[in-house]
Amino acid sequence: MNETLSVIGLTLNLATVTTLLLFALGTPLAWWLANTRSRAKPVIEAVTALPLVLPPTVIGFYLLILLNPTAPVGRFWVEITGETLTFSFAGLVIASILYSLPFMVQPLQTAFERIGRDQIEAAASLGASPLDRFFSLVLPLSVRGFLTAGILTFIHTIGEFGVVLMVGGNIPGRTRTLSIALYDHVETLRYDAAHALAAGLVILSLIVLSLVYWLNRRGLRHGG
Amino acid sequence: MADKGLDFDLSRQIGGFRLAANASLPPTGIVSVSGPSGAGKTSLLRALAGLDTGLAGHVRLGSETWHERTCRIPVHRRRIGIAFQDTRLFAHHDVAGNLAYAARRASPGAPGPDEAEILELLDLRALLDRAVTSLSGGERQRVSLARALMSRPQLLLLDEPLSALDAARRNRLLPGLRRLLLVHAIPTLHVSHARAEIAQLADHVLPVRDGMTGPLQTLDDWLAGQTDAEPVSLLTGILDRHDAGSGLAHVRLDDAVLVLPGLEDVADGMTVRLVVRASHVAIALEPVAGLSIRNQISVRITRLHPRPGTPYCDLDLALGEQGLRARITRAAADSLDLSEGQSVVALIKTATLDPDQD
Repeated sequence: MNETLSVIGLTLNLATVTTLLLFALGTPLAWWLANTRSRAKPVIEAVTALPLVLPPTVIGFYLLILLNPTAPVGRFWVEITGETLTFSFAGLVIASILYSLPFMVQPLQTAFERIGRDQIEAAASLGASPLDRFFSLVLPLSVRGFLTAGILTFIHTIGEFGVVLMVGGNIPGRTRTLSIALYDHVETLRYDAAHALAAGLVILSLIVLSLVYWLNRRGLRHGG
Repeated sequence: MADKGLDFDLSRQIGGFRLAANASLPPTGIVSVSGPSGAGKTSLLRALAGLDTGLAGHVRLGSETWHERTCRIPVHRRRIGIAFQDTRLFAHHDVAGNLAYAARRASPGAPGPDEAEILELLDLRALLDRAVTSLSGGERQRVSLARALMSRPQLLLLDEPLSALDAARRNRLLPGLRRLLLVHAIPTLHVSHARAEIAQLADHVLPVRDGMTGPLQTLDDWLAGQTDAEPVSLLTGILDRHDAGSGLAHVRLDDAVLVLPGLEDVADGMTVRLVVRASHVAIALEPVAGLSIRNQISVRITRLHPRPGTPYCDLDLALGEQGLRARITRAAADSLDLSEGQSVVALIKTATLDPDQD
């Protein structure tokens, strides 16, 4: 039981940190994608969407290559923190950010595109600076987009398996998340524990997805 | 207040359409941009506001340079109020919230009308708590115009600001809007293809055709050029009072008074501009009794223009400080023995707010 609680705590922690960081990283990226006329836009969109189609193990594999202590990024991390990125919580966060990126960026991009230039131009003419416009106009008009993006990112991070296994391994208290623990239970034929975790994830996902669809339906009815 | 008004010489290529505009506008007063649909009126306003990129040339207001080569002041630092044709109200605020958004960002100490004045002019008090999605097209336009005024702009750009309002509401609003813009000395560029709106609002007209601006004209000259068939004149007067029984309004022009129908929407005390067609003015040597035309006012003939090849003779008449044109037949002019400097009586059949109205 204690172990289960530790697994759930770690998983929720990872999902929370990942979601918060993705809000900070995904918002400017989604804003740029929604407004740019650059020819690079389709390429960047494709790169953002890549985690949707690639097997998680492919992402995990490349991250392992990139983050291990002999690679430049991994070595740099070891130098400044004294710990390795692979098989650590920090490594899991980086992996989750990449893996969940489309779940943050795409709903935000859709929300930003729906606002359009018209109201932004009106706000600018009234003396609102770009930052002012973001907080006084874009943010309130895309609240549902942010909610959808945050919820999808959070639940998707909770459920990820392949990337976590490749980058983080299966270290209790450090990198053993819910889906890894479930796999572990099945391997060791502890079906009752596996049932509890699996059913818990199904019910949680169902509740969260219902919430997302309910939000979107309300959004449609209120016309934005 | 800047001693120089908006000054621009700009060009912009948009696909196959080229905008090439230059003008030097007076520091105060209202300039209407007039031209057919697709002439580039809205493109010109957007270019002046700095809403579009790819602009060559310069835009200056007074001593401020807004656009020149690489120097480009962003829109939000230009202090322009824009009433967009499609209104662009903020969906997440109610009417009061939209106005407050503008008021909060108005530069402190900038001159301009206060909130009470704006609400009164646009009759918005009853709408303040309404969601913008529940407003009619005309209501949205009134809120949009109010919002632009609330930002205390140093230049106001109006793009078909009243196109969704019914004629009665527009007639009631225009004299008050003109007065407010003049009292607060807000230089205004106004796009419209409604001649009635231009006649009530503008001091000058900037014609635009195929993306090119023509020379800036006074309203009188522009109106005169609008109808090839006959000249029109513009009389400015103050609406003294309405006569409830007859439905007629008394408009005072210097010493004379015109009694007219069709002004029931205009409030007492407002300055109105009346459009008079030359053929609706007849001449008599003395006041005439027993005639259906009630408006008989004393004028002086300043010039006679016989029109060769036609049976007509046009007269320039002085009514106090104002000019009035009349078109009569040459035969009539001869038989009355009219001469320049002579005092006669002008019989005005109709005078309207709208040049397109008979």
